[in-house]
Amino acid sequence: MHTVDRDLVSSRAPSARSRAPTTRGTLLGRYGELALAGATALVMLLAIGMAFFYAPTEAVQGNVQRIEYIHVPIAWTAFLAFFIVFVASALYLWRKDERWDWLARSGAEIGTIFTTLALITGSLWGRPVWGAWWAWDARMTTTLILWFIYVGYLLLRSYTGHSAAGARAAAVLGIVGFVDVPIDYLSVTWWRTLHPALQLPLGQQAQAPASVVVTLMVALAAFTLLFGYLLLLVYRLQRLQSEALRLRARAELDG
Amino acid sequence: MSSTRLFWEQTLAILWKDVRCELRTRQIWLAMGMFALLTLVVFNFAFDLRVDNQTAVAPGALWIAFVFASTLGLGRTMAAEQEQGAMDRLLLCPVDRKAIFAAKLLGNLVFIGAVEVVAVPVFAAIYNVPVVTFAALPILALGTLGIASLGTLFAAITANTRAREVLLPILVFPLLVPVVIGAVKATQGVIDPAGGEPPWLGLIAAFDVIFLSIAAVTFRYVIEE
Amino acid sequence: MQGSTYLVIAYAVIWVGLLAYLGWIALRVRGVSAELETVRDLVDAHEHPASGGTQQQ
Repeated sequence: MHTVDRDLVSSRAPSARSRAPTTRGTLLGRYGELALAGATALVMLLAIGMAFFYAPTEAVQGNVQRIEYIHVPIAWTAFLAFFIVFVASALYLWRKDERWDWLARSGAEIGTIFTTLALITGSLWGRPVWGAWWAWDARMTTTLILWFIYVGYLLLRSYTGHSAAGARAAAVLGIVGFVDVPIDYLSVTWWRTLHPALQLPLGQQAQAPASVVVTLMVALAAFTLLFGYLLLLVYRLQRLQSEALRLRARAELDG
Repeated sequence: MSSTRLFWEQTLAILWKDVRCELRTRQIWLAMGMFALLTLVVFNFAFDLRVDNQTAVAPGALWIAFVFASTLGLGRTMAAEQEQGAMDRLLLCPVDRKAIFAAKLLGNLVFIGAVEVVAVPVFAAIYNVPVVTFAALPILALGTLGIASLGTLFAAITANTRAREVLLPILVFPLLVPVVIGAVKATQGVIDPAGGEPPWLGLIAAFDVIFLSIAAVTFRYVIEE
Repeated sequence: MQGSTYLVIAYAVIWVGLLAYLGWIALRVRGVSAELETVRDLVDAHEHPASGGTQQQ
């Protein structure tokens, strides 16, 4: 009776006997995945077109305001990713099914990339508007903290490798981190109300013309679709890496 | 025997065991206390504290000193225990995991509290700031509770990892931002009461309640093998 | 720098970034697939020596 490396095989996982783990999608099916990719590309093209040609030029800021049509959707998607990490983490702790862990890893990776892009675009937008590369604006500050929490998550995963204990630890961080963010936002906003710093000129949807709102919605849809597609890809990558590790462990036990 | 009473009995038993065996950890906390005091002194040079900017800068120095010292101390204490294999032996007993957390938390609170009892008066003296008042107590208590709750949880998480000394601050600092903001603002309010401030103490209290609960519930996932 | 310059840079950064990320994913998938092939052959060879090598999928 082998004493198999408990860590790799301990959580309930899809059968280790699968001979040919597919490199093709099994979640949506081949055509589903192609359809998603196609839809993403289409809506994204539409969004870019609308951002540049349909949306009006803003009176005060000029063309620079169009950055809003990527900054806002990317930031929103980054938060969505974090929410997914939260849900997947909680479910992993509850169910111990490693597929939830794969989902959490995927969400965290994509979320970190998106948060980084959100910070960069926010800063690029802020420079002409604020006159500085950074102002301790409440939303940007919260996004920065979010970035640190995400990166911490990835660091923890890298230090703990593929062990089940590491997955549990990361899951706890995923939960704590997500709950922390709204409290962060609240505290930073209160902190800022006393010394109102320049804010990114968002949130003027109430007075904004319909074309701005529509463009924003389309852009949001485009990035959400993109996020879904990336999630699919990275999830599969996690699954394959897990399979490879499992088989590698088995091969080493046999040999 | 009611489950609450059992819980507290277990908590106190573990805590008592920890207190008795804390030779190594007592040395760690002594060092951490020195570190906190040194931070306060160095801050004075770094920020060129003068009478006019005292209120603005001094509370920051105090809470940074506490957060840094606590984080370093918590990491070391957990690591020391890990090296002795004490946690593994404890896990063999059918003890409520929440009780283990409570015991660790209380132990850490006692130690951080000991550091604060010394640091706060020293701070008040060298920064010439009237902070040794009853109004400051809830701020210190609630702020420390926030730091200790998350600190205890993440110390357990990082105890087994490689770069554990540095990973603990990396994970915990971003999460503690609300506590730092709240505690610093609330302390400023004690030194130099100004009107129209948002309820900082309430924020810290809510933070504590939320994360104490989450930490207590998730602790078992973190220490199980 | 003009306002519109920042606009262009922002969009460029996003697109280059996203494409680079997609590329990185593809690279890793390729790496893992190769590893899987190797390892699957290893396991087959060990566990089914009688069949004399890789089985058909």
